[in-house]
Amino acid sequence: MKFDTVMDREFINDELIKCNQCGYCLRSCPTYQVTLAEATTARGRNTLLRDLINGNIPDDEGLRNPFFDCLLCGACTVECFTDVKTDELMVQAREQFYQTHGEPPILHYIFHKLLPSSRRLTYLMRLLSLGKRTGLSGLARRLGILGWINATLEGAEGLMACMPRQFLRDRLERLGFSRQNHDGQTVWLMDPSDEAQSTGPRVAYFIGCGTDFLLPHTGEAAMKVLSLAGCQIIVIEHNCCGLPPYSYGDIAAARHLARENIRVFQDLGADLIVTECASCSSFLKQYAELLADDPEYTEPAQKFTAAIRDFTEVLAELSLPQPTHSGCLVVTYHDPCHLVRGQQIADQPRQLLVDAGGAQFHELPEADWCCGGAGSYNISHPELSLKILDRKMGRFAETKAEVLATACPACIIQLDYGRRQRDDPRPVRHVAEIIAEGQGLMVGE
Amino acid sequence: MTVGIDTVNRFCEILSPDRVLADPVSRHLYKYDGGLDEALPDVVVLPQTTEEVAAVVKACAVRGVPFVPRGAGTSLSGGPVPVAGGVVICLTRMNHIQQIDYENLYAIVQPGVVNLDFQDVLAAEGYFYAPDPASESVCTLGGNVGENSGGPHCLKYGVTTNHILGLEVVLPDGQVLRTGRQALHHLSYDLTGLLVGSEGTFGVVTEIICRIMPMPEAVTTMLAIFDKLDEASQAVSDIIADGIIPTSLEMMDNVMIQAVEQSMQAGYPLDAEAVLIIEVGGLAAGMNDQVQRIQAACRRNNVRSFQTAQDEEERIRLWRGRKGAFGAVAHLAPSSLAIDIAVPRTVLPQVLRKVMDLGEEYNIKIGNVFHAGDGNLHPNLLFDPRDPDQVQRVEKIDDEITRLAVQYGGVLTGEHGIGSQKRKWMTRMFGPAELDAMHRIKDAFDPHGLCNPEKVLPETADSSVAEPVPVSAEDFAQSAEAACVRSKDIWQPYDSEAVTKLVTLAARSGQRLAIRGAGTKSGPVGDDVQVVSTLYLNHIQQLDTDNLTATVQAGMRLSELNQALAEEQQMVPLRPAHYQEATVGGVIATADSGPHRLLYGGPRDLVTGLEAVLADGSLVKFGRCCVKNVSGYALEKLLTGSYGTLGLITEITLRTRPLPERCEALMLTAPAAADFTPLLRELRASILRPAAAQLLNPTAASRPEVQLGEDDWVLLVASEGLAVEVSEQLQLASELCEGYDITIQPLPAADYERLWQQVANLGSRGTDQHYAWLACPPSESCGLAEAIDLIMTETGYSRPISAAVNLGNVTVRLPADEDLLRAAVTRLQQAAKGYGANFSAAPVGLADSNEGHNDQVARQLCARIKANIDPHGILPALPQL
Repeated sequence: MKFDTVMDREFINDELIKCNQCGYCLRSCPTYQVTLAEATTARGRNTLLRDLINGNIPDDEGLRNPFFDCLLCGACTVECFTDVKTDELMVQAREQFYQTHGEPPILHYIFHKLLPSSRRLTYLMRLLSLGKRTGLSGLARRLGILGWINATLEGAEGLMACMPRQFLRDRLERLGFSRQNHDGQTVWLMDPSDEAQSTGPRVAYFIGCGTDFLLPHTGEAAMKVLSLAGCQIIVIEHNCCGLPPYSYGDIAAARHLARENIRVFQDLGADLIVTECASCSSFLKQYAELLADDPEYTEPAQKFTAAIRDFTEVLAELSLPQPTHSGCLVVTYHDPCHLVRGQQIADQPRQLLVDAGGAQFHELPEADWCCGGAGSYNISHPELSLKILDRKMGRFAETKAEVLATACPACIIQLDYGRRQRDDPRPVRHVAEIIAEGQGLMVGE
Repeated sequence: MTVGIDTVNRFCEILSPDRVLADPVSRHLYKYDGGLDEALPDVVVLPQTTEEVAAVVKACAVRGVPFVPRGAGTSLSGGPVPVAGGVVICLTRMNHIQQIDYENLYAIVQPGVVNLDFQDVLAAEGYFYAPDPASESVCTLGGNVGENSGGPHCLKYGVTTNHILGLEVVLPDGQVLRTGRQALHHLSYDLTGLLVGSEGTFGVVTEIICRIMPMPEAVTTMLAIFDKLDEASQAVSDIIADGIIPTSLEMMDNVMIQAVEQSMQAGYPLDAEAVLIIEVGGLAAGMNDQVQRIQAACRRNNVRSFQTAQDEEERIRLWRGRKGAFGAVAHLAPSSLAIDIAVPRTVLPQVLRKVMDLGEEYNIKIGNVFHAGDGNLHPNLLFDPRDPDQVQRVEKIDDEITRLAVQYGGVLTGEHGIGSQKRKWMTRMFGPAELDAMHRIKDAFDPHGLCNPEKVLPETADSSVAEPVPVSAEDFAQSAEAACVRSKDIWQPYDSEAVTKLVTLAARSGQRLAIRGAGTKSGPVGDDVQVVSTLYLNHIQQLDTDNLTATVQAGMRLSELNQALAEEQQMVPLRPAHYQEATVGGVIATADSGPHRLLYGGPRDLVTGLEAVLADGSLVKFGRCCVKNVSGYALEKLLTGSYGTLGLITEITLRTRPLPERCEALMLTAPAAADFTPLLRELRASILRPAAAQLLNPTAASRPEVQLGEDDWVLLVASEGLAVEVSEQLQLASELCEGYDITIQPLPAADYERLWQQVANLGSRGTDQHYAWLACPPSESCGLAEAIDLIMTETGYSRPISAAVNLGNVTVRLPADEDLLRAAVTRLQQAAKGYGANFSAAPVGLADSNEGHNDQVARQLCARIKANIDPHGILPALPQL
């Protein structure tokens, strides 16, 4: 076993030694709860990693599922007496797996060619959007062409109900941003709303890929709310946060994206970097750790990480006017893994729904259970993902809420898919959208 | 590899192929449990039905392949680790709750149901299942049955075995065995009691019938901090001596206190030696009284601070430190080993001190969290598994602590089990005779040794014991007289040794023996049978009032034992028939409990250990003075209720209880039994827990020994316990009656004992063979009693009928006249069927249509047990039922 390239051998050893297979992790693992098989438990995954390192089991295809079935939701760590970080261990295990067995070419292309070039990515997304809206992609799926090209594509096609005509970046001007040039870098700027009661921080807004291409209205709502709360907002060209390659164990690609992002954000003079995508905000906060052994980037990464705030986190610190109407809408809330465990943010979004959104709040049973979306898990593991989603939607069905709110585009896509599968008319929306509505702000095309 | 490809293929036919795992990765995933041992299975199967399990087991049996049942794999002794390879039968997917009967307080569940999932479902309706092991959030109920799990609540409510009413088990030959049933009581061997705690070595449990209970009306949590551990222990003793049995008594020592403070600032003083968490439950009316008395007991023992939770939030706060203790201590070292022993509570402080000395001697940090009420100790050894020297020292301490437990009269394991890990130490607690008996029981279930092999029992020593020299019948009498007094043709041994000699001689001469105590239950014996009396074995061996146990010889009369205990303000809570004369041995051998069983448990629940002479003359001792014990097979449970067919019980250790502060009863009368049915339904749904509820038909009520009336049905309702609670219970019961056309009158307190003794006699078989005992769901008992009454009246014989309506037991004396009996039989059988009842006892012939109980598989198994323990038929034959 190598584990010597990027991987921190000591970290693996220290973590694995703490796992004594007590099995308390079984309760909170969504994958175990739907399979009731040991291959989908944290202790099982850790055992296999240990066996692999010790040479007890062959380094073959048999390890693919146990290592890649993990949602990386982190729920096991919370349950664990010794806080074994199985999610981190699985990222390491995946990296090692790809080093031996090779990364699938399409993933390698996405992580190393597409994601580092926002222009190329946008171009491709425009094609996809066109295909989706004209029904071409659906036709292709039905004819099996997508599946023939790649099973992943076929799954992805079905997941989205539709794609927006305009991406978020296409709408900046209409939102009130003005385009400027800052040291050769194109910068979009929006001043605080005229109605803002106080002056907030100068915020660089990080537009996640999911927000930009699939759910532009969530980003729009978040920016309008921030503006109303007195923030000056800056938008620049940047890359994907790097979480997708990281989750697949392509740590090198993630580090490359991180360096690029740190570079473009560092001279903007922003107080904070904010995003309404919980996955992005949690991974951006990991940059310092990710680049800890890169001397050139140690300090900038620390600075960058220190400036990151999730939308719900920063908004809880700012003041907004009283919502225009109160208590009419009954809302429940699903905790994104990357918010509740990734950033220990659970109270703020709930509080905001009531205080700023004017909603009446009902708790969702098992609110902090992963929805099975987990980035692109719903595409790579459709069967498991659907079972996990089914449990989540069952919990939602138990509540009398009219809206299912959450705070991460990845969750919204997954939950909305679940809603459509069950013909549940109650919408899934981002906390930012509910706040925007509560504040009487118009959002959408 | 013991499993061939054809076996794997066969499994794929039985189950779908995706539930048969034979690849290397899957095998590595089922090699462990929560303990230290690991071993690779050859195949793992994930069945979903009893039929699938039976087919898999049969396929294994045919091919001689070993198999191991497995739940969630959270055990700590290697129970589900396949040390001999073979097949792991993983039961996690058999996780359906089949039925919950709230009125009759039982549930039927599959073994893969997770304990806490079950609790959550029950809690929503206001009920609970008492055993709550620390791993409740993940462990399965099947695993709990296998290990006889305990938990913080077991001081008051008992361990798993006290809550299991029946089991469905796939035996190692693939046959399906059903034991027990929804109602309490059975008259054959207590197979259920033997199976619970057998660590999956007798078969694969596929369905569980368990008791559920209504949640107490109120719960109060207290936290007491002590400077001295001894004072904390004494406070625990004082609380119990005062008649209060808390639902939890959890103690943490100084190492734990420091760890908890470091990780969560629970507000514990760092120099305190003990933190005690006390929780009591019961009627709201009794809470203040209990709290005040507990506080007084703590004050007497110099408590430093005492807090009572005023609301749920505070309750959670007080528990926070205890719940987080394992997590806190886990951060002190990379790994930890939780050891499990149980000792009599009386010696707990001494043992604890020795444990700490061991930690110092071997330089290993040890933290203790323990169930202070029941003597169950879990020293937590903190170490780094990467350091071989530390690992060695930890193993040494484990070894020494286990030795210590036995040395102080305790047991090898209180709740984690023997499994593969403690097998090697079984000889510390058991001699060759005991281990041999356990092997014979194992053989009765699993003659080819395929079911979870190499667990619990150590390897059989190559016992080349010489065949005993036969003794002639004449020589028997002569030699026996040298060993034992004989008077009026009855052998009267005065100690266990004499019994041993007598039975050994009988075994060698093929002489059959009958056992007699006070003679309250013995029928006639044949001429060729020698009668042995236990009446000279009448000493109290030990009254350990602090530990709540009493050890007595078998011939001691129960009433005399209770007189002695009364001086210590304690009792053995049994009120069997013929209470004044009956011997403890007779009561235990016949498992006679009396009407108060639902509150206090029956003999099977109260016996923690016993000594007996088996059919080959060997003197054996099973169980100890510990409430919690899973060291080896529960032969004390098997011998309890075995009617002397397996061994002659010479000495018994029983759980005692503080004497109730008050005992009172109400008499309700109504023209028909059915008049009580709606009231009883309401009573069951209420917070009231009567100690006993006995229904008598007019014939029984008018008997001269009770004189409770002439023409009406009578329902006696008793309440026992703290004075406030008793008053409250009876008050509420009276109020409930107001809505019905039922006459109610209190009974004089002075008559209480005498009355219940007579009531117990009314329901007993005694030496009368013309007697039937039916067990039905409690909700049906009034209806069944009335139906039987009608049958008897129409047959022309009005007979006394007595029914324990909260237990679901109905008894009736039948006419001796053969024609009349025959006339009644068919109708009784029909009535039984209509009310879901089974015969627990009946004249031969009547019971033959007893579907559940006359189960062929159970009968054969009992016969095999009898044949293995008493191959020459020296002791009485198995009862017909």
